[in-house]
Amino acid sequence: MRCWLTFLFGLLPACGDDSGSDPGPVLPTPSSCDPGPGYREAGAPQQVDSVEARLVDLDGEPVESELVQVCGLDLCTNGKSGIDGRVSMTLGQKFLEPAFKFGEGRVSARFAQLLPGETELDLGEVRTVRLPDLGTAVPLVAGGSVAYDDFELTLAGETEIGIDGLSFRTAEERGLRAVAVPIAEAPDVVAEGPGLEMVWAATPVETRFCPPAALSVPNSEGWAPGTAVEVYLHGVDITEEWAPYGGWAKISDAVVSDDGERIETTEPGLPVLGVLGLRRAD
Amino acid sequence: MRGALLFGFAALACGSNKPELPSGLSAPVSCVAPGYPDGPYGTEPGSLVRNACFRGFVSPHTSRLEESELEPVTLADFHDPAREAPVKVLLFNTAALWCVACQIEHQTLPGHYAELAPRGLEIVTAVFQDERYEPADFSDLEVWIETFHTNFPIVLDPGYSFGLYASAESAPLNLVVDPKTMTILDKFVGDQPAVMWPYIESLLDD
Repeated sequence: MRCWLTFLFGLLPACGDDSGSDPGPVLPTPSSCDPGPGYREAGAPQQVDSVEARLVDLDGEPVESELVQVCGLDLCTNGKSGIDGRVSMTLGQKFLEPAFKFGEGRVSARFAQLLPGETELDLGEVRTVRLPDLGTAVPLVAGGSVAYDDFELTLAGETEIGIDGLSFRTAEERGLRAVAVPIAEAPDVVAEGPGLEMVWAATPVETRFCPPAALSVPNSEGWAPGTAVEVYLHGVDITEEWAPYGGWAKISDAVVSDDGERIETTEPGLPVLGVLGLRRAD
Repeated sequence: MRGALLFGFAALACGSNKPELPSGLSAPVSCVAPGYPDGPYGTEPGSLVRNACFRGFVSPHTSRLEESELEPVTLADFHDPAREAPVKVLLFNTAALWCVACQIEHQTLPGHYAELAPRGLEIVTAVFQDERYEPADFSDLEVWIETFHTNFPIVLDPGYSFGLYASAESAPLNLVVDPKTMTILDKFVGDQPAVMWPYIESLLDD
């Protein structure tokens, strides 16, 4: 199951500048890194007849033309929000572990909100997280630090960077963008997480790093130097390699730097990019 | 919305006991192939698949992936009333770049094809939308083939001809078809490997 990544995500060798309008074909390359722990479990099909929602941004303004999906582990159905942010999907189908996916990782951060076991669902207001403008993306290049504002990745020289070549087609789309998500305004899936205290949404979502990247973000909560921190990943991948679909899983340890300015991953680092949650370790 | 179309075939037309055909099946056929079975066509198991015409690659793994190299491909190409070819079972499959369930399915399709083609399986995949839900174009087909190392016929279906059989907003769709008669033997909406592959193998064993 895990080797699907070598099919789905072309692993881009880290070799210089990734700029330019045509990134060329994405060529799969075997990865030597261990796969994620895997969270997939057998589930029962769930009938979903309809889903209603109203998409708003973090300021509460309607978000129109947002690409959404009801996507299970076996079947996906797409939709789009209207001018008032409303989503109305008539489905009448069975899905394995269906989630409402909103944000495709290009304009908005990608989230997956598991659907309760009801056939007709009104999710009410669903908050989306706008990503920074595409033109501000920073090329992901191995062999140094790649920073988008205060969100900084350090990639070893031999790092293989595996980007989803089907979702991110241009060099700009394959660049790093990240935004801090205020906890109080975050989508409900954040509140349903494991007591997260800080959230960052980064893209290209589902990008794999082999070996894992080192992550550094500002210590915006003012935690004491040396504080142990846990880094969680929000699961939007239906193979559930690194996190349960629609849920969260710890992917790395981190610590507040000696000067108290930054939170930096320790081991193993960041194997995959996406919506990341941080909290102080128990 | 179009999910209703999926079930529309089963609905009875008002005032009659005849099934109401999706409009694509009752419309004049623009893709004519001599010898292809006449209708009536349908969308459910037991009914005939209507012919459809595409452009794509019959053998993508050995083709130059350039737009100028796209070949005409029709469903009629796979119709074999005299059983002249060794193909016993056709699998018509849909895929879209936005559809992760399709991506998961396609990680294993080339392997299934390599194993089962010698026993009589033919697969035809129709790529119908890109990652933004827009109609697929050549670059979408190209990246799909390169990503999954597609080794069986694959075509562009920007008009979503297979939307007759399922919702255009839903994927993947798999139609198992008898090449002798072009009758739909079974229909699988969604990636259902645990059910579909034993069924196909049982057909190949017959």
